[in-house]
Amino acid sequence: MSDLLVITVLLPLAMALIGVTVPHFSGRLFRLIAQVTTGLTLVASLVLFAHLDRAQAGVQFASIHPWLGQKLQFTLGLDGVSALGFVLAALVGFAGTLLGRDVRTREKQFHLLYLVLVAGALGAFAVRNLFFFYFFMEFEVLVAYVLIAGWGRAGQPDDSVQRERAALQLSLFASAGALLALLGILVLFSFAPDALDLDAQAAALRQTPLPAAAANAIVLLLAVGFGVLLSAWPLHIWAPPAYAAAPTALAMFSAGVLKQLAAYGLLRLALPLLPAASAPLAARLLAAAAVMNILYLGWITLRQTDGKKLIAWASVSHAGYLLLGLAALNSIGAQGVALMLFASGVSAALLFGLWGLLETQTGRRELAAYGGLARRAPFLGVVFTMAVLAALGLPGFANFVSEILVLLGAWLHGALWMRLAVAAGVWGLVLTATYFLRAVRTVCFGPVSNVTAKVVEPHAVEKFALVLLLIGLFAAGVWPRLATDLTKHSFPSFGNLPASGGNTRAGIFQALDNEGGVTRRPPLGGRSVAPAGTRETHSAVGGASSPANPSQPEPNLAGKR
Amino acid sequence: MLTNGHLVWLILFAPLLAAGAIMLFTRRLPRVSAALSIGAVVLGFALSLKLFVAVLQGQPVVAPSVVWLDLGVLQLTWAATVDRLSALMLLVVTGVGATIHVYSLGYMRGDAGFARFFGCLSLFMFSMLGIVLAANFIQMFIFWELVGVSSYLLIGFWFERPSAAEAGKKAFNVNRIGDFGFLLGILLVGSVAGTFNFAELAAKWPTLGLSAGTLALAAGLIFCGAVGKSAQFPLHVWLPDAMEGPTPVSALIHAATMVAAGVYMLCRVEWLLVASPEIMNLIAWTGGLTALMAASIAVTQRDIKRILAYSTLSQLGYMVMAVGLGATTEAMFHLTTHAFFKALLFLGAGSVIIALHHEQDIFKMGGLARKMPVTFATFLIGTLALGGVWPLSGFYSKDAILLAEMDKNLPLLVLALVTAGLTGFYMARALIVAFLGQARDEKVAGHAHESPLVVTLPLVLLAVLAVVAGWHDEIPHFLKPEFHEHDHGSLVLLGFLAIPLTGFAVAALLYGRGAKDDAVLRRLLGPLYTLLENKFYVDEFYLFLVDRVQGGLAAVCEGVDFIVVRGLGVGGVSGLAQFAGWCVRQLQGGYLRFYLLFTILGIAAVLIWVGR
Repeated sequence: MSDLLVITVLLPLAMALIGVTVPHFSGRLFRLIAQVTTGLTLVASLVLFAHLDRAQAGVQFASIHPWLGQKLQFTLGLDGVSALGFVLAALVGFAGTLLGRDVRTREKQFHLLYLVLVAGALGAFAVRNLFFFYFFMEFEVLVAYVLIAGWGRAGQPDDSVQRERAALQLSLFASAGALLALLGILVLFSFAPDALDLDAQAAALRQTPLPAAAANAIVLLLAVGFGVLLSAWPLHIWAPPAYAAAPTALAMFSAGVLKQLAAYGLLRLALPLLPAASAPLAARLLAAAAVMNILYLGWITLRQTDGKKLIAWASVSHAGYLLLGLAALNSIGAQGVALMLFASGVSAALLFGLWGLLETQTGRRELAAYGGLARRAPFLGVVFTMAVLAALGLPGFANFVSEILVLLGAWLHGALWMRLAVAAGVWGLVLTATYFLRAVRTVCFGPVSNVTAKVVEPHAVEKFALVLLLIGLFAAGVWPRLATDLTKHSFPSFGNLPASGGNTRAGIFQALDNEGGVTRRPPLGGRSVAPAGTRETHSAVGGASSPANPSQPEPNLAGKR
Repeated sequence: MLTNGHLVWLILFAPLLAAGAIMLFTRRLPRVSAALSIGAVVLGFALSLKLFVAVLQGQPVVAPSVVWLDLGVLQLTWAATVDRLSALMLLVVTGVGATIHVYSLGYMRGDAGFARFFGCLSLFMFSMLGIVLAANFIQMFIFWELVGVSSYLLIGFWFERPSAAEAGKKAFNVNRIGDFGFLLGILLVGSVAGTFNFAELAAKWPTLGLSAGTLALAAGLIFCGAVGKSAQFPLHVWLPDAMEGPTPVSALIHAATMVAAGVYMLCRVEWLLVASPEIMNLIAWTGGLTALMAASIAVTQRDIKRILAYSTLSQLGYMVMAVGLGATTEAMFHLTTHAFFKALLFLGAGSVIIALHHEQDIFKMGGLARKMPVTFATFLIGTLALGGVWPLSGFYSKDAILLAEMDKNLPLLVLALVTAGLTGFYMARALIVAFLGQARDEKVAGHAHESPLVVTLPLVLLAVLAVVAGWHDEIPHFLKPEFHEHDHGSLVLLGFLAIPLTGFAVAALLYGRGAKDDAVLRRLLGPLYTLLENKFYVDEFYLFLVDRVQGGLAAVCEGVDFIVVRGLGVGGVSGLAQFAGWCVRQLQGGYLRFYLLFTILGIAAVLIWVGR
């Protein structure tokens, strides 16, 4: 299985290289190559996902490839969280090749670069080394820049200027962010060279704990670095124009995978380094950004009249829920983020893909030009409605479960300001319903407009892609244990923060305010079975390892603060 | 061997399977689709009867449960609650649902979306039954949202009509506002008590020793959900617009079952509400005000379905008021009888609407009694039941609430009695204007004729239920075996009976001689009539809030984002870079004299630094 993982990551890259040698007979050939390759990747990723041992929390299918001596090894492997991202990248990558039909020029270059893009994302999710994670992420930004600048269209009178501006903004912001992240990684490297290996990180840091100041600096640098790609307020500026200018396949991939990659980076790399003393501040900053994303950017989304921009802004605004789940700094919030990686990615890809189908047929982007899609093309109308219902968090779709988990996790944090942030998050759901239902009302319902009359039902291939994405959302929404069984042991302790209770269900809750109102206790600061006032004896032991032996805390970072 | 426990899941999932099959396979086969949908609900009704009997005999019914979400620190179990409350509600939902499914065969005949209609109807049944059976808050919230979406789809069933599409959107949005509070309430209750399970919560909640503020906050937030779903003031605005949906939908979803889900939910979490007397008071007054406000608006409406819609609001107000007074048994009693007679009234209105080719203005009707005798007779029964006339079911259930008020809250009793009088008035007005006298508009009402059996049979069935459902207080006794009516002697009951009859009489006086329009009432009420006609301008106020306040805020945000963040932030950075570039550019302008100048300055600087 570990070989399959390596092959899956390398396959798109290899196909891209082989493709370069093929003369440019026809664009369709390269499209086919991309489709077949990503299709195989998806199948392989599903096989890997199905073979993950659900009883085990750690990394599976691991393989080590020495590169620069013992310090810098190219290590691959999947755990519960990264497996979700891996499947997401494969799924969206495949759907993108099926749905992205708006590229008509230099198809060879586009499709081969797209394969590189997919390979980079797969690699980033599968890699277990901080350095290589950074490398893959940078790689993605670079490829995305080329794809937007080369094939984007901004839908404005002055297309070329707009799209180059959007591409430049993307690359400037992302590079600046990447630079900060790199700085963070270098600082970490200088203090604890062994910590670059994600799985050895905890152990390495246990041996030589970082000075608090350095740890804070690293977390901050990484957070800002990843925050750019996550489009966290106020680093979001590049995102809506870039998504709106990108060709369909790239819009799907960057709003559906790259953003999620950044959230994964924060969840997996940055926050675990957080010293317990700075946790409250970090939670505050993340929650503040979350509220701004959800409310402030949500309100801006309300103002959008251009369909693709609406979807772009909505996707940027919804990054707020990822931030909120991260701000919770507890297992439930983190699992919510893990599931939301998948849910928000697939649903953003679905919306961008659908919009691409409409726009390539009609050439129009303003919502008001459309109407009566459900009558003119029932399949598209139904899928559009379902995609929107998924995006606004209807039960049955994975988005619902992930939002509930994120909100619950953040609520359990307990502080008043965090609960206000949760209230803002729930109000964001009202906002989401407002702008998305307005879009459905305009596009799908009402009498058939002249523009909509040009729309025809998509080909079978495209239908297949849309249904595939919907099935992904349904599967994880109807039976969320597909995801949570994999992630339930992934966050036994949240980095340096104490674990959230043993297996007792009440543990996590009782630790919170028994008054129900407001307390300013640190997050998840207690467990039901331990005697009162045991902040120093918090165990990092998850439910899996030794719930029966709670009085004997395993030595962990919590004791070293 | 299938136990009763398994049957519970069969009741729930049969409609889902039907909906799925219709959506995926039989969209082009209207008859098969209808058969699937009706089969599922009839099966559900039969099984619900079996469960009802089992519960009545005191057999415990335990449905198999499964862990649906496992977070390590928290597990959510998918389970079903089968007790007296849900057994009764199952019977109401599947029973009324079955008759309305059959009725839809006639009402929707020939519609292009026939199969889609039944698919959505089955989806609704699934969602509604899910609310009834929910064993924990999360499960209830899931189905709560699902009934919302099926209602959205059915209100906007004729989606090409802009008004229908708008109405569906409005219903969804307004409900989301209620759900805002509901979800926060769920999070609060769950985090405080450590469980979402109703049974555990009911036992645990009073023992937690929470502060009064927390108790009130939790109860108030949960109540928000009911305010949205049961269309209580101030979130009542969506329900009248929801009448844009096909009439069977109005009858099933927006009269008999879904809107009652809020009341059902409140009864399910009675333990939460009674813990906070302030919120109980708030609930009672919200219900009372909604009842009065809606009844008074109904007086001026001309659209037969809108009259019934405001009447529904008003009756839901009664139920919520009863919950607020701690009389949940009475509330459920009224919920049940109301489901029968209000579904009956809506279906009767639908029968009229079919006969008149979709004319809904009562002042274009008239003289329908002779042309549509069955519809008239059943509509009359429905009107009397709604008015609360002895010995029909509405009399018993409404009086149960009034009697409870007499004991606990006299101001509310007055309010409820005024409402009862108004109810009598507006229902008699609708009945007299639509069915009696001569046809006001010969083109519309002249050639009406009775609807086919598939339409009238459900009417008769519901009419029978609307008559007998209240007898002997069977329903409250089932819910609470120790239930006994507050006894205040027959004189009080006679007084209660006199009030709606007065309403009937006034209506007969005003409209009995074939009034062409509302001129008399308009003159009598003066400016009040205009106020009522415009529904107290609540919609206009909301439009202002949404368009001006939220819209203004959004515009400000967009402006800020454009100017500050983009202009000063990014523009500032790029401006700085450009400025730096400009400075450096000056150093290499190509002019020899500048190079010379820089050289001299440089040498001077070095000399000064060295000679320091």
